[in-house]
Amino acid sequence: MKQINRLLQIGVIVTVAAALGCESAGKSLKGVGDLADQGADQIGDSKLKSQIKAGAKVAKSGGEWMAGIDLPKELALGQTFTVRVVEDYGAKPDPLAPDSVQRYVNLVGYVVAKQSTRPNLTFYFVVIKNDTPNAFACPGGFIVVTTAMLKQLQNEAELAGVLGHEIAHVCYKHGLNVVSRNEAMSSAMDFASQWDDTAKFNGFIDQAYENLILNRYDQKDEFQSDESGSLWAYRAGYCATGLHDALKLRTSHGEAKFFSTHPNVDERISKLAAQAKSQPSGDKLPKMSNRYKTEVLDKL
Amino acid sequence: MKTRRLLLLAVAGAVLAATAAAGSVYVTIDTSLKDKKGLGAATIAELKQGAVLELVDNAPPQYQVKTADGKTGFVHMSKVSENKPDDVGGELAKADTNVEVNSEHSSYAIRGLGPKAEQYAQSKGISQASRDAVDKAQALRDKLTPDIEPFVAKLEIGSDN
Repeated sequence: MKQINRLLQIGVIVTVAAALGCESAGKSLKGVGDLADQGADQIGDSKLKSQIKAGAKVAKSGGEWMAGIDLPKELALGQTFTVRVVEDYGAKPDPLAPDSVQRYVNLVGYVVAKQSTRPNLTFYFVVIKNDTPNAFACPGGFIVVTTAMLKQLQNEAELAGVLGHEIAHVCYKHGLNVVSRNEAMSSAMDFASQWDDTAKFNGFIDQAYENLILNRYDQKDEFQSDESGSLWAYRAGYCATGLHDALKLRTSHGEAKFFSTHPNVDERISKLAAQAKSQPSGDKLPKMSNRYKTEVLDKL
Repeated sequence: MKTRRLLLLAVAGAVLAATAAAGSVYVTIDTSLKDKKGLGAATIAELKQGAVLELVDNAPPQYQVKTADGKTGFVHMSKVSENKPDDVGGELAKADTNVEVNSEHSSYAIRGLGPKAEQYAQSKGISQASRDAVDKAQALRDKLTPDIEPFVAKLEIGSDN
């Protein structure tokens, strides 16, 4: 029982550290590693002890790595990832959607981001021409959305929900967390001493990009981003069912990449429905369907 | 057991520190305090970004709030937040601008790609079109400010479903 209590405590700390995210994420993660390491010393089962010790090592390593990434570095990473995403997924020779659509998506993102836990960060929403519905958050506030995703949505509240979800990934530094949890990658890139080594930096970006694109986020990260993103869109004044409705569109449009990289869609829809129901007047707030049609659907 | 209690207290403290005090919100966009809900309401005070308001009633979409000097009125929910902007109350707020964010971004937004992204793009043979696209998207975002107020005003009217 004592062991279970100890594990429960570690679990609680991990959850809270992940929830807090933001600037102290690296220190929190390292603290989790330290606590888990200490807790493991009190466990008699050698196999379990070994497993926790290994997890603690990764957490400490990842925590140190995260703590070394200040805002300028986060922005540099985000901008570099964004250039790569635009190159790989944007149309040639002109990757971007029309300026008026870019402007509109940035306005929706702006009001949602103001409700987030990083209200002063400048978020950049980049709309690329691409036939696969997708949205992708890069560190530092760079968020890429495809034109196919915009065409699939039906109103501004849905867009606000989707952008809120991606904004939450940035706020909680889920992308950096994914990278930092990979021991090989984090130890291969000690930013304090190797940031200026071009070959190592490029190698790191390539690995991290593959990792983010192919593996994406943990299930708990997705649920957290759903909850916060939906809440922030609601607090920005949008109908609380926006993200829920956007996810439900999957059933009428088939399996899109945005959803295939975000597992457990049915469970997510269920959780979002319950959340939307609990928001005061949540379903009475505007969806802004007409404006969305004028600003997006009529232009794409 | 003592350790467990301390742990829970620490967790609770951290969570509380991460959000605004219960019952208060911060102004996120310069706006007006109105005397009643809906269209045709009169302005009774100007609210500056970062000002702290006491939340009297958080029934959407118009929250009833009370200013520091005791004026009670209504403000649209999109213009306040529970989360305190990073620079509010400090030197950056006195300058009335997001200096921290703007200066952090200056090497990216004003002069195109930052040095790390530029050298990565060159090393990997990323096309000039993709580099220009990111630069263009950033420049467009940085010119957004005049559009924000009319955009939010239409959301505030809220009849567009």
